[in-house]
Amino acid sequence: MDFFQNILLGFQASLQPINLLFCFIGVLIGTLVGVLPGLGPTGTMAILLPITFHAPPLSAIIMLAGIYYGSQYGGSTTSILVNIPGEPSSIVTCLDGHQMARQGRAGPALGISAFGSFIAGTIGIVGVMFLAHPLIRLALRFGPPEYFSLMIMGLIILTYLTQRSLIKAISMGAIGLILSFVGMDIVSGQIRYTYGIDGLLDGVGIVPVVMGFFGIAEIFENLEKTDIRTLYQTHIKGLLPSLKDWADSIWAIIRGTVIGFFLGILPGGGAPIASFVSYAVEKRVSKHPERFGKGAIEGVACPESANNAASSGAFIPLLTLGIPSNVVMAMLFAGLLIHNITPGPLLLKNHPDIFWGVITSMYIGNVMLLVLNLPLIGIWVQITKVPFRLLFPIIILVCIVGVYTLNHSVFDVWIMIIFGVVGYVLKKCEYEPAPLVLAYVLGPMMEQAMRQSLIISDGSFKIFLVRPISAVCLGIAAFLLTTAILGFSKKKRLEIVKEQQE
Amino acid sequence: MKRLNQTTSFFLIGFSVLILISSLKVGIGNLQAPGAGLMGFLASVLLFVLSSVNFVGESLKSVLEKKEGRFSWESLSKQFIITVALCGYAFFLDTLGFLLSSFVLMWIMFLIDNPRKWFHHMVVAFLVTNVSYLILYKLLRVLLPAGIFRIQW
Repeated sequence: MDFFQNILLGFQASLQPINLLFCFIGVLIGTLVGVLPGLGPTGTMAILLPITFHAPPLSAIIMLAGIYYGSQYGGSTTSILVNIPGEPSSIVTCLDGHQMARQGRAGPALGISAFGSFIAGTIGIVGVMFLAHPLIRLALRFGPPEYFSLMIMGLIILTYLTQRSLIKAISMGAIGLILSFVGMDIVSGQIRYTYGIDGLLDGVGIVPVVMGFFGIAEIFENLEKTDIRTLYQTHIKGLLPSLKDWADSIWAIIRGTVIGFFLGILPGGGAPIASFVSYAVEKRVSKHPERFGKGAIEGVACPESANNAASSGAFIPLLTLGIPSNVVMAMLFAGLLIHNITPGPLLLKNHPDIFWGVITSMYIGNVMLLVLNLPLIGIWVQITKVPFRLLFPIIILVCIVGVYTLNHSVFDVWIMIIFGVVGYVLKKCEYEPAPLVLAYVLGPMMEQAMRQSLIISDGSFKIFLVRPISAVCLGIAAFLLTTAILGFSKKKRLEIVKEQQE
Repeated sequence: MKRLNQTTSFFLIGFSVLILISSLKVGIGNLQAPGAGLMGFLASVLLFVLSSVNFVGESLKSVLEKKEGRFSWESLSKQFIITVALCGYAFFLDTLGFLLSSFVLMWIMFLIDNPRKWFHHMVVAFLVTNVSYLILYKLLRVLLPAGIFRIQW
């Protein structure tokens, strides 16, 4: 009974006209950044964070969440029509989606992508509703050692999954931690790592760092690309998939949803890895694996469902444990903190309207996305034709304004420029920015949890090993590190990529 | 790329040493009473070790490896112009104000691709700047610097 009351409370909050408007703006911007190159959901959320200052907290979070799952929808359009993924999570969709477009079946490909995303997103939200309560009960038993070990596990999983080089990924994590410690120590009040620069007294802001890495550095990278976006000339008709298409795809959608949802929950997981894994599984269980890569509709349905289900699943650790599982969730985490709302087990008790409002708004957002993506496909197609040389100056201006308005400080603009240039050089050397951002967000919490744990245990590190939940988390982290060091994971991953290229 | 990788690792080694020394100055305390510098100390040691391993690894690599990921002079020159323009923007924003400095920045950005159409780009830069000003300042009430010339509308 409580469950239905909560859902009702959620809908009551999310169906308010102001929240509907913010939800619409969020999914619209999300679809747009998914379609356009050069600015992903992370950068967009960072830009819009300061603008949400004046909005009610729930509306702001609904909009930021809308950008996230909206970008997953938008990314598939460019994958299918242009063979260029708008988002990393849509890379796999290119394989069969673009082949379908070349065979004159762009309509059903776009249709099944939108319907698959809708079904997966919806099931994912139901999953969030059911899992939230048990996880919160579990989270209430967490002490500082458990939190510390869980965060270590999240960071290790992220470095394990995003690694080109494990050493470089962990190095980025270490840099993120160091950056998060700049400024005043919350326990002793001591000033550290500021080197006499007044602007650093409050620490290095998350928004300038993210805008540097995901805005400016991304633009520098895109300027190097010489490929011209050639839209496959086809008349898009028949967006509604046929009965045969449905029969071919329905199990792929269900499998993709389940895989995506659980990979989304995992700290460090997320939409890109979910789409890769679901595609590999689908190909393995298919009776006709030879059709994959040649325009199989289930090859579009499964990754699209998986990445949307993962977007929903990723909300679970954030809302229940207060731990962002990936970089996008880290931005949402920052958004909640800006509005004086601490995500975690007490969120449901202290702000039930926000907890259930965000969850139910995702359902409304998914309906909006279906309406946006199918009838308006022609507009999105036209937008993919906008050349990057016209886009990047506007993206730069938006980045600058987003960063400046945060504190009305030119110092933040300097930070963004520095991290843009440094981020670009690091990317060229195959250092991935995601571990840095996640470590930056988790850093202060990790430090606090570690110091509290050591004080509780009178300076003994054994406390992390004798408590079962903490020991399991550290055990998983150690196992992943060991397999990565032994090169097993890299070999396996290369095999999957090679298989998909074939 | 090998040289860039080595330089980056070398830079990170230097950065980690700087943080390590600073952490010791702040005070790492002891395990019973951890100090403000403890976590920074541990992170800097980790970064130092990994960057050193990376530096040695890169040095041992054959020169023939890693051909991919080279810089092209054309994109490098564009990136350089953008960086200088952004630094100039950050330097003059408070003095010139949002409208004037953004207009100049946008004009330079559009000119990068095709300098011959300078007048066309000037008009586009003017429009982009004013539309963003309208949205931010007039509609969203975001505070933007007016500069010493007080250019506002």
